[in-house]
Amino acid sequence: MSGNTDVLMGYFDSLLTTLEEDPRKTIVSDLLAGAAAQVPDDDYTPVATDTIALGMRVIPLKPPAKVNGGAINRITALQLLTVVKTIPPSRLKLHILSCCAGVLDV
Amino acid sequence: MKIWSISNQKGGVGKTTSVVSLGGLLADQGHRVLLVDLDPHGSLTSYFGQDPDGLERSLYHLFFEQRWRNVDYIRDTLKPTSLANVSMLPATTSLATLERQVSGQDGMGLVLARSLAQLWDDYDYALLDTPPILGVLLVNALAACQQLVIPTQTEHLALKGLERMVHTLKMVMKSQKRELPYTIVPTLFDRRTSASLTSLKEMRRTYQGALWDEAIPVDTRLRDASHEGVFPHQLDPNTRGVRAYRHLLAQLCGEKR
Ligand SMILES: Nc1ncnc2c1ncn2[C@@H]1O[C@H](COP(=O)(O)OP(=O)(O)O)[C@@H](O)[C@H]1O
Ligand SMILES: [Mg+2]
Repeated sequence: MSGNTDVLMGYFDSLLTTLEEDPRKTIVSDLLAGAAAQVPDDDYTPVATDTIALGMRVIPLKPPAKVNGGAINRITALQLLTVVKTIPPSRLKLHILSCCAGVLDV
Repeated sequence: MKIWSISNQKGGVGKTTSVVSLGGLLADQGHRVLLVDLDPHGSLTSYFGQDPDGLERSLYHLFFEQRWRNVDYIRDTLKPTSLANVSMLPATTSLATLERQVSGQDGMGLVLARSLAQLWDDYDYALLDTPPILGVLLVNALAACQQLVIPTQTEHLALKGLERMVHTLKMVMKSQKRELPYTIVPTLFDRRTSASLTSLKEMRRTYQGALWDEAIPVDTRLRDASHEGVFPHQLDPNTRGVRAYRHLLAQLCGEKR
């Protein structure tokens, strides 16, 4: 498939699938939860990000709880928001946005 | 309800004219018909005397607040035409902003299909008039219809629009995991011009199976009907254009001529 066709297929898939029906959403959500759980509890080190089947990188949303964990969580979520702003509309984008919204408690 | 989408990713090829002509002939056979205007230009809406800049409600409004679930709201949005058994779901120019408003929301290609499901027993046929650009509105039409009609002007440049349309259709079928039959209809055919004859030959070569074996001729009576705001067969039931559309209708309904 050409890159053009790939982009269009993603567009059609997103328009023609509702969230409830999308199995990929569950996969991403599980991966995000898993990645968050794996963050070690000591000093903050950028956790190795996994490249998953969707070609997206999972960035843990939950750095260590030490040194004002809540603030760091929010900063990470805000950083993620600036990254996600740059990717085209898709289910994954929507999902990451809702994860961030959860962390930021908005 | 049977739902046909009349689409091509090119403008001025006779989409709106085909919707009105076929819709009128179906109504003439006694069917209850719904015409849907998905084009932000609102040509179909204007055809029947409504103002796409002035209407309070249109297809646009069904995309918000889950109004597509509300059958009373949908019925109240419909407008009459010049025939009692034909209604129209009108367009407003605000439709042009839809792409931006719904971007990032999943499932927005299914709003029309869901709205029509609410009207399932109210009409025998729904004919969808679509914009010539690939976007959320065209996807809504392709997702809702059971059959696609592709009017294609018989001139060389129009073949590109046809090719794009067929490509889009194939991708939507793949995304939806279903087959959608389509019929290519040569329009604005003038047998005196070589452009018409050559492009028709070209279409035959590339799309034999899907090509209707007649053509809609150039007929100024079709244009006159749009000025009067009536269905072409109301103006003149035997003009060449109307006769050709009658043949096309028989073909689309699966009757052999
Ligand atoms: N068979 C025809 N003979 C003469 N004029 C036509 C015919 N089909 C369409 N037209 C005219 O051509 C113009 C474009 O047609 P229209 O149906 O509005 O195209 P589209 O909806 O694809 O943009 C209109 O002015 C219409 O009246
Ligand atoms: Mg039109």
